[in-house]
Amino acid sequence: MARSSTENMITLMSSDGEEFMVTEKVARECTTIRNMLEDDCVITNIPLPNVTSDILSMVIEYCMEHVAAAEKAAAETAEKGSSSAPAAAKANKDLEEWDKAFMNVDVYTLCDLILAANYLNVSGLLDLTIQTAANLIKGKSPEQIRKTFHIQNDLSLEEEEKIRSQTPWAFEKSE
Amino acid sequence: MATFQTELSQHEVDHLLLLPDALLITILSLLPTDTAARTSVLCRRFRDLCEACPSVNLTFGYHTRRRPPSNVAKANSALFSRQPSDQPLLSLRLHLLLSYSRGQSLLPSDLTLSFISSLFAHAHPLRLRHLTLDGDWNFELFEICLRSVFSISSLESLSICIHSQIPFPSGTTLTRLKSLTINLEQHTSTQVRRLLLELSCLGHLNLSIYGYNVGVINLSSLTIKTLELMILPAPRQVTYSVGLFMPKMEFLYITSMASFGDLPHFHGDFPVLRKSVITLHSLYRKDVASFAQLLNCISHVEELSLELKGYYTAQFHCRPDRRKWNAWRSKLPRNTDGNYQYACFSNLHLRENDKGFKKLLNKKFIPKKVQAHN
Repeated sequence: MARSSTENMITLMSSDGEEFMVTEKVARECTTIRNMLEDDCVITNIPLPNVTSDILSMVIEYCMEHVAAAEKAAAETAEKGSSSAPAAAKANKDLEEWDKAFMNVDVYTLCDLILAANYLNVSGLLDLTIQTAANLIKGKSPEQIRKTFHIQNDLSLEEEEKIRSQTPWAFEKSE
Repeated sequence: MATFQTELSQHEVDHLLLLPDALLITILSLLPTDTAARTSVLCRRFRDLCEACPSVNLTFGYHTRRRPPSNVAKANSALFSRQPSDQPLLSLRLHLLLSYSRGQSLLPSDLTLSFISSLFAHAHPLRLRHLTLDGDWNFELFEICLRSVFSISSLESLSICIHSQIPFPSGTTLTRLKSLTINLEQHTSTQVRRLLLELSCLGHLNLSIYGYNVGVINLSSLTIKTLELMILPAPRQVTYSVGLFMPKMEFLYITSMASFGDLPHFHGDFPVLRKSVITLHSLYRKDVASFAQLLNCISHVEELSLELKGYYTAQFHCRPDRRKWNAWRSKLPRNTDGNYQYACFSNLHLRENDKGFKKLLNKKFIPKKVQAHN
């Protein structure tokens, strides 16, 4: 895109010192960064001490994809004077597919992404990751959930037994 | 895709627990309460979090012979264990499954009407904000429950479906209700009408109209900004009209599943309408007059999205005669200043062989200025 070269570029620096150059539009997807830019519009270098480079690159990938999809939809509407719903529906579906593929990560990356999305306040990514985590819990026994998320059980046998006897309905196997 | 690490270093263990409480609670609140409660045995932190989860999402159903029903136990630990001094209850969703025997609907064996009613009564001091009742709620049986639901004054949204003839309780206690999802039938129309007048800050209404016979439905509200209207097919061919008096309405969504030409006639005036989305699952020749009337009602809308989908019967495939086309054409929407500039028409999902019809729509629906540019 020729236009992007004239746009303001922002440098984001991850906790391990790696620098990422992104357009201001992509950076603005993160509400935290948008607020910083609105407070101080000359800022071009933003250190993000809570986010590692591999997670930051994923967050940027997500923001770029969603900005590109929104731009494409806007351009089509402007061009034709009206947006055609089948095309828009297809674009939405493509983006959903992309999101789904993007969530094909291990649980550690998922948890890091949730933290980063929360810190940078990217609402779309936060909703997506939280829902993915909830889906990982659905339909699993406690043992399976522990295994999936590598949670160590610090309850004593008596405590666990007490909870199970208080809420026996939660531990029935679904039919 | 990141490769899955097989060897776990110490810091990777309990990764989920690095998340702050608020985020873990959000995850839990997306789950049905049965599943969320299951996480309470994962570890101490989850045990405490489960108690702090502000949403309850329960399914009441009957059980197999092998297993005794656990509906009361569920309600006891998920709802009755909560105290008014705790955090407010954000949302409650109760999905009820009745069993049917010899034409009679029966409650799951461990539930009684007074128990269900006491459940809603308990939700009141918990400052419940969002209530959804779905499944087989049959309020003919549950008149007493309906009264308790309508007395939860903290409710901000309510989703309910009432098929019975019992009178509605007054909605005057629901002073905070902003969003309502409800159905409208022949015998409830005057009650729904009265309810809308009583709700003083309702902004969003989601209304399903079905089983309506003959007559006029008039609904008015001074506060509604968004109306979602779902028109369901009537059991037999009927004629009725819908009058909407909602001067603050900005968004109008109409989905019609009406079949056999029973699209109602619409009338009303919406001076500040900004966006309208109309989806028709079928359009019969008999509907054309109603449809044109609807378009006339919303003719000054800034953005209109129109979708005609589904099946056109032989009736429709017959080319209507030119006189009728012209009559309809003259009724197509235009803005108050007489052009189509702001109207956005999309997805006229016509079948290939409706070429004449398609041409007609295209001609009228493309903004003139855009045509000139091309």
